[in-house]
Amino acid sequence: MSQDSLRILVVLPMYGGSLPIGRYCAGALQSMGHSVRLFDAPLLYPAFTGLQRLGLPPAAGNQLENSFLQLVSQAIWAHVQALEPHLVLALAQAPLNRHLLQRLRRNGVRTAMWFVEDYRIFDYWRLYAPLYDIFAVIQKKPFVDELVRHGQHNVLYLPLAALPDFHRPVELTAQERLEYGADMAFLGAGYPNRRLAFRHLAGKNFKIWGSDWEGESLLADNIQRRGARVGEEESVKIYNASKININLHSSLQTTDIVSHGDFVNPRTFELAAAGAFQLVDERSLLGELFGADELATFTSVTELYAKIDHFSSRPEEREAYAGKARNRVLREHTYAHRMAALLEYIAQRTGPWPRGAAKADFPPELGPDFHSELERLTHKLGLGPHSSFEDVIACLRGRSGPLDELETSLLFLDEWRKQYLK
Amino acid sequence: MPPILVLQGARFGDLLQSKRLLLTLKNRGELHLGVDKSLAPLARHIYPGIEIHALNIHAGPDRQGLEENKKCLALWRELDFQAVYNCNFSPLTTALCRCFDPERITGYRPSASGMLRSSWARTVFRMSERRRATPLNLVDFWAHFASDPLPAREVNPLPRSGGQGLGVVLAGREARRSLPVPLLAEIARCVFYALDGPRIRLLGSKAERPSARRLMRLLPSKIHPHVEDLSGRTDWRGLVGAVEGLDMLVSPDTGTMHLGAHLGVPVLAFFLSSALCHETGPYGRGHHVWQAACDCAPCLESAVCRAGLRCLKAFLAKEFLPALNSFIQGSSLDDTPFPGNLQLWKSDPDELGGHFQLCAGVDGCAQERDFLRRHLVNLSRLPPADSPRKAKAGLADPLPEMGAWLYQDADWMLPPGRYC
Repeated sequence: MSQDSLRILVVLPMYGGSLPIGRYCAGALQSMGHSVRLFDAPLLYPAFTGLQRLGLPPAAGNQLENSFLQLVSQAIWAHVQALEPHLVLALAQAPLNRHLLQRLRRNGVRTAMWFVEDYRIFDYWRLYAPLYDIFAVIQKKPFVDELVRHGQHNVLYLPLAALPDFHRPVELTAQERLEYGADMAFLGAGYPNRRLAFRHLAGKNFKIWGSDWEGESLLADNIQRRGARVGEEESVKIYNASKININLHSSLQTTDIVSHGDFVNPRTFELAAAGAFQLVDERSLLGELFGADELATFTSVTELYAKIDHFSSRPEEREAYAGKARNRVLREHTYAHRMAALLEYIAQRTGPWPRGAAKADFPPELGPDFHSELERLTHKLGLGPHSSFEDVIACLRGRSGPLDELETSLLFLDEWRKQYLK
Repeated sequence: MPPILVLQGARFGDLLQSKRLLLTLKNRGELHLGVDKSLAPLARHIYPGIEIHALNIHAGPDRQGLEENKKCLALWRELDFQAVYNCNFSPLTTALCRCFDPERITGYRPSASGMLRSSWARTVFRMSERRRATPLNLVDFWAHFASDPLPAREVNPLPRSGGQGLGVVLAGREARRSLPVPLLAEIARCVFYALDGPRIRLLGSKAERPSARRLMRLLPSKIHPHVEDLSGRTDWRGLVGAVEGLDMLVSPDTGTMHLGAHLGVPVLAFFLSSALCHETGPYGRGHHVWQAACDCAPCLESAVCRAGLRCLKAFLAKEFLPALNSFIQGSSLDDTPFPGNLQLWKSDPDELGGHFQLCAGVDGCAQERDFLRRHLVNLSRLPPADSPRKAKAGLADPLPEMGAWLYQDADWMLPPGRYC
């Protein structure tokens, strides 16, 4: 049991690309021995979309949306009151309104936002950034300067990462190889630059996975499942099954298909962690994250097509790149690395974490016999080896259906301790 | 018959007040009862034919206690109960219920976010916001966890003198709910002479032994030979033996009082502070309760009294003992000055359950209580109670606004009968 365990509330956004990243952060923090609770905002998303579908006049609809978001913030506050977290970690679009952020600050609860979006597209950060204690970003200058100009001085550059327990090489069945396998694959939304880039590959053994490809008739045969969303678990299978994974960063522009942007997308790390070979477009921040021998890159569509041809017939070269990229991720680019860096930075900027708040060990009522049973249970629940009694209890509470006698006894013990010892 | 489990994790009195529910369910399946380990011997004694499961609920669940609980839970899983009745709005018993399918649980169900209450429980909780008008005895609150419970009159035997003398319960768990020893001595003396000098058994736990000694000192010496001090000297079986067959049991609101009612002993109870006869009065027909009725009563057990124990002053008024004496002698109370802020009630169950008729004093909540009671009758789908008191008093139909506070928007808009 770590003495430095913290209670952390991770607030997920209701939807979008930062949603899985929030879950990965929670998983990493948990594996580091922290007591993590998720505010599962996606559970509330259907109510929000339902409101929108009522066909109300815009003024009334806006008012109701605001009321709804206030309610969500109240639910987060209720979580905070129950958990008394040392840190509230929010991912981009997490539904913490300004009032709640001010309230958290007044109550001495540290807050951090990991803004895993492009600041040029999502510009609402100007309003919210100063309200967080820490603002972690995936871009450097000029964004960092802009943040300082808007009153946020605690800015951490924190590139994206992978979760190696999840993004990993997997054995596929013959059926899965058939379903997911291809000479080339792309997984992602149908942004304009991608549509243009991939038209040249129409008719080849090229599978396109993901949503927002409507109206792309030339690539219709390449688009899988009519552009349905693909879950995270299936994504890993696709990465593993494809000889060449094309990773072209999104751009709203069509003038420059390869956008030469700065930040590196999560797929770069995920593909690398999965031991999959990828062709990724050059980014200004890519060089400090991966070496030239670790990732095969391209700077133009012409180069992309040429490298596809080159690597298609060179499996040993693909394997070499993939192996090196995976090793680099495991060494430096996991969500555990990122969360460790974030927590350290928060301590540097806002003061050390309270030692006195370190979690107690297993309750003394549990003798050694129970310890071994508890360890087996921890494993069964999929929790990390450093998980606390609190983690086990939180996990049991969240499970549906009847529990067994050990699980029930532990829940009872927790309630008994709350009633008689606290 | 498919097995049924009732989980009653509360105290002595609650175990006895679960009787109507238990007798109802006993006719419907092989009945099991989970109780705190300390009460298991008593439960076995008073509820023969019900399988008792002892759990370490309130004493610290040490390693052995947890192991015992675990074995019990394993057995429960094997028994595959068709229905589970969780009587306690308590995180402890609700945690134990996590080993069951929530759909099989009645009363209080566990959920990821805590405890969910049945619609019935929620309604009665809401009524308790106006406690003085509370219409429901706790026995019936639990009994109606089951549909169509056993008629209230069949729960406890009719009280009758058993020739074994007078029992005096020295105090309850909460000191503020008990009468002070000098007043209790006066009451004991009064009843002793009215009953022609019977034996007196002093009842209580070890903690009440100093009170017993003090009471003895305050009683006239000629009564002493009649007194047997059993405080702290009985186990559960001994306590049942000491109460059984008494001619009368004088008590504050205690578990022993409910034991007396269970055994058919006439109860003469004195309720003050947080005790309210309409909630926890002795169950059955023909018991009597002297109830403090000042503006601040009933209060909260956990709250500090800021009224200078006004409820006790009602019992210390000079009119009290003469009125008590007249009552015990069977004289009419119409001609006796009756203390203010005091009521005398007599139990008389109806279709819904335990019910008290006012014998003396003033009840400012009669109309509201009557309305709430009828509301509960409707809820429990029972035929309306045909209360003679109601007819006599000629009560008008309740005003619509009388029950407005009972309803919330969610009752109207969300599915009825849901747990939440």
